[in-house]
Amino acid sequence: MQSFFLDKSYIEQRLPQTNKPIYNFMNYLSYFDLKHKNSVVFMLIVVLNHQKTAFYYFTILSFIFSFGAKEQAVSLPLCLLLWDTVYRRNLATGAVWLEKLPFFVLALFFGLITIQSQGLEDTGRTFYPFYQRLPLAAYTISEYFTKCIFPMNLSYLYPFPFEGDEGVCWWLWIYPLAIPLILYTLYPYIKRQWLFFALFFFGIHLVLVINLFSLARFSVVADRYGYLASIGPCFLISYIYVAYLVRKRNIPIVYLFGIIYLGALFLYAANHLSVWRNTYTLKAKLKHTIESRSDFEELKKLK
Amino acid sequence: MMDKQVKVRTYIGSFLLALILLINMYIAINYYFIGKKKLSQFFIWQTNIQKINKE
Repeated sequence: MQSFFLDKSYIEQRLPQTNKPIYNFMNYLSYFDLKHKNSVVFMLIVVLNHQKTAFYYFTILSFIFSFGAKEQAVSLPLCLLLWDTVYRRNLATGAVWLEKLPFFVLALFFGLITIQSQGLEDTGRTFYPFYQRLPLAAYTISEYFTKCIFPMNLSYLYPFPFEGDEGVCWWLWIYPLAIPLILYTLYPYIKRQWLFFALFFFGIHLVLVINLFSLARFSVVADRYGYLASIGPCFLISYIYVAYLVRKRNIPIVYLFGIIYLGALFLYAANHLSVWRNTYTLKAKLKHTIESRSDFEELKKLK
Repeated sequence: MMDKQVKVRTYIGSFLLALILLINMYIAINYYFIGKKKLSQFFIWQTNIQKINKE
C-alpha cells in the first residue's frame, strides 16, 4: 500500500485546488475552559473547500475569543501562513498577506497586552535578562521536543534551572550551540515539505512559551503548552517511520522497533498513571524526586 | 562526494540530537542539573502555596 505521506500525487488529487484561505482553521486555536479544569483545544478542523466569506469573519471573532483563554493564540497567523506553504500558495502575492493582516494586528495587540501584564513577577523584580533567556529558550524548546518523544516523569512543575542572580549554568549553553548546529547539519532532510511543516508547526506553537519573552512563570516548561505543538514531533516521527518502512521494504526489525516504542510508551503510561491519580500523589512524587537528590541536605540548609 | 558530506552532516546532527535528548531525559529523571538555589526557592514557593490552600 502506498503511503499517504510519500505519494505526492495522492495528496494533490484529494486537496481542492482553491485559492481561498483556510479560515475554518480558526477553531483550531479556540480554547475553552471546561469547568475550570484544563484548557483544551476544542476543535482541530481543516475544511478547505468552503468558500464562504462568513467563515472569514467567524474566524476573526473566534480568534479574538481565544485570547480570553490562552495567549498562545497569538501564533495563529503564523500557523495560517505555514498552511499556505503546505498548500503551495504563493506567499509573494499581496492577497495572501492582506487576508492575514487582521490576524497579525490582533495578535500584536493581544500579545503586547499579555507581555505587559506578565512582565513583572509578584515580587516586583524583573524577569531574566535577555542573555539568560536565550539559553533558557533553547533549553525549553528542546525540553518540549523531548517530552513529546519520550514523555518521562511528566510533572505539574518544572523549576527554572537557575535563579536570575546566579548566572547561567554552563551546561545550558550546550543548547543554543547545539540546536542551530542540528538544524544546519540536518537541513538536507528538514527542507523536505512535510518535515519542514512538522518542525515549524512545533516551533510556531511554542514561540510564546519558550521564555524568550519576559513572561513571569515559575515553571520553565508546562506540559499543557505542548499539547498542540506535540502534533509536530508526532507527525515527524510517524513520517520518518513510514518512510523508513517503505524504503527498507517492510523488514520485520522496523516493525519490531515500532512495536517496542509503542509498547514502552503504553507500559510507562500505565505505570505513571498512579502518580497522576490526584494532587497528593503528584506532589508526593515531586517531593520524593527532590529528596532523592544526593545534595538534598545542602538544599535544606539553603532554605 | 556530496553524498559523503551529507552522510557526515547527518551523523553529526544525529549525534547532537541524541545528546540533547539524553541530557533532557536525565534531567527528567532526577532534576539533577537544577540549581540548588532555585530548588530552595521552590520549597519556599511550595510552602507558601500550602499555606494559601489551608487558609
